Amino acid sequence: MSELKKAVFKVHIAAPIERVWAAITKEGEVLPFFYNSVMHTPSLAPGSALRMRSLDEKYTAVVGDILVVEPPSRFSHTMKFTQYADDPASTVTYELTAKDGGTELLLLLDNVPVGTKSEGYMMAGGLFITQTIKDCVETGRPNFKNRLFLGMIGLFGFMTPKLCRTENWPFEKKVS
Amino acid sequence: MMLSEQAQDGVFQALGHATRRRILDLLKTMPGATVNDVSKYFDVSRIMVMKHLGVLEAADLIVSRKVGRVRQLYLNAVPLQMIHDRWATDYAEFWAGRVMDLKYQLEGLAVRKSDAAGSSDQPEQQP
Repeated sequence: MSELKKAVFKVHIAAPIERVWAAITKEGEVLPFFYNSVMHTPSLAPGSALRMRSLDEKYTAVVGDILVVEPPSRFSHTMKFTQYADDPASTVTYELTAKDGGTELLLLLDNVPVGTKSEGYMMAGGLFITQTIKDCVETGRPNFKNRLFLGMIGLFGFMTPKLCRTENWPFEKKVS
Repeated sequence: MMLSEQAQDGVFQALGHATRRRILDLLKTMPGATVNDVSKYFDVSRIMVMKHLGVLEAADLIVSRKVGRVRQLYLNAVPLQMIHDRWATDYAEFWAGRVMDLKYQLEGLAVRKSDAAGSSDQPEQQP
């Protein structure tokens, strides 16, 4: 694995930019678009650690560092899946632009390590995240297919590897 | 939420040309390709390729990002996924409902059988 990939996902959301920004940067609440994880960070500011944890905080699925916080137009952080901690960290950037009475959301994935399991999850995640943010902001919930998918994730939570336990991923641990 | 009717029209119009579908295939495997990169794969003029790219970009099927003096092109699969879901999700909901009905019917049948077996196993009460 030596190649790094970039991908872009774009969607128009029929809602004001501030609402989309609030949805993306919400802390302490379940984020359906991020696979029902809850975002934890000591401070929503560049340089702070970011953790995506289960509601009961037992497991941490994604770790990273916040790179850019420019409300309401740009939020960026590094990320890696704790399950595939040997893969290098990718970068996730949300770019928001007020357009056509709503918001244009660009999700940019950078440094995605080609040929890894992380790549597959990142690429599928890009589609899921953009579509589910749109659905959640516009209608309050994901579409039926994605609700079914989120339900399945919940059912198989007991299969989460021990490596993903939150005690292994404190804020102090450098991941990038 | 689905794409608007107008947006769907744009996507189907963009997909209704073999060259444009081929461009999408190329960008899927070469994210960040430039117009020159794409042009090499076609016998038509660069201007014609740019016209096709314009149609694809108007339909949001590709996103172009300017990096320095170069314009990089990326496939945006979100509208395709939404069009897929426009029909497939409805059908999934329909079938999920049918499957759940069948599950309840089978479970009900199993419970009735079990009840019947249980009652026949019971020793008859002697008066």
